[in-house]
Amino acid sequence: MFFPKIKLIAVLSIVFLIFFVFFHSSQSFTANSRSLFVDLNKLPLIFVSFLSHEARAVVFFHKSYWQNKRLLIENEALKTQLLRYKDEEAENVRLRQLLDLKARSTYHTITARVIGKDFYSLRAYLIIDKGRMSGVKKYAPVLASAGLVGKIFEVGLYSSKVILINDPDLSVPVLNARTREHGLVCGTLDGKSKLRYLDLESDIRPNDEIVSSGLNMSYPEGIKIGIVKAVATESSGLGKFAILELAVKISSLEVVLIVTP
Amino acid sequence: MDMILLTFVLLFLKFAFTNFFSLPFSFFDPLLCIVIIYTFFHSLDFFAFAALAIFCGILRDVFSLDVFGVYFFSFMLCTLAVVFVARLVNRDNWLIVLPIVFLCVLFNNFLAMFLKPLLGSFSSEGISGWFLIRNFIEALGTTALAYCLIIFSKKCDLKLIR
Repeated sequence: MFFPKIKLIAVLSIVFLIFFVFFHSSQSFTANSRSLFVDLNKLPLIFVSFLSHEARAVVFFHKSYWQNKRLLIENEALKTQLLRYKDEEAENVRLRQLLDLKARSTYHTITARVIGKDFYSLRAYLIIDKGRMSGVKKYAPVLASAGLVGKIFEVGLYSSKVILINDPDLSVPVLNARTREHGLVCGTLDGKSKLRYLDLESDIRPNDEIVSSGLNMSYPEGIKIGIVKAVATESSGLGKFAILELAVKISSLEVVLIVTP
Repeated sequence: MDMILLTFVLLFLKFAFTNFFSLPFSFFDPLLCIVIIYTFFHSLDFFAFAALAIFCGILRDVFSLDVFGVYFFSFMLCTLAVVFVARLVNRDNWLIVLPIVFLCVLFNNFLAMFLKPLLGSFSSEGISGWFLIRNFIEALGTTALAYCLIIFSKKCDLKLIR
């Protein structure tokens, strides 16, 4: 035999594995296998997340102490503001009933904790501790209190992966809150978000607020996306684009809300 | 067995590091680091480094959002590149592995960008300044991790370098 048997078996196994991966790379069962593996690692990830938070609590004690004091004062002011808004909401409901206006759709949410973050150069994502058993659906929008975070990309039984709004493969239909102009927010490899497909005569300016338009029903309407930082003309000269500063600070997210139907 | 354990420990260490510092970029790539170091010091043992590269590549694919198989292929191609370089350099001085780690991290990321369309994932974004800076930071961090890992392996007599 010219070629040793064991080496031949090993080389053939590697070649088979290569073809298997190549032809099944985009099949759903690989996504299910990935979700299953992440489910198995949920407990270690929760433990690791707990340890790192405890370490932060010890190391950043001084900063946390003064931040806590500031937040308590802010909380009192917000409670007063909330009482006023409740009165205004009640009056709004009463007036809508009088005018017989259709109620705005509301959405239900599930709260989830972020147990893992991965910010590789090509694709950043979050791992959360809720999955199909908690009612999470694939492609469900994910929000934070400040605005849109992204959407559910992979769902396991007990955990899920969230694709972020600044991911190059995610686009969100949005509109300018001031001018009501529509556009599309796309992520970039830089980790920034770009508002594209604006008219050349668009009146978009820095500090304009960008919110979700709810156009294709994949994201609820009116969710804050970010603020315009800079406006420029596309290289083709056919339209404008804007660089956004996202409303949500993704790297320090602890808790997210998943929209459920 | 201890290589598999080391792999998982470093993987969870990366998650802990990201949670602790809350940085918007990845500071190091532990799986690629282990693969490169192991391949460099065991470049004559084909089965061992190929198995580790396949295992780490699949693990990286599992813990990513990209099309499955991107890092499986990129890790294998990186190991082939390291084997080729290992035959040209003087392996008695272990410090030579550090620039190899640095270059392989950059090579791996660009290779992954090239492989993604071949496996069915299409993205229209091009390369820009901050992306290159993030890659550079990741390469530097992985090199620092490689140095620490080699020192640790020498003290604990791990299979990583012997």
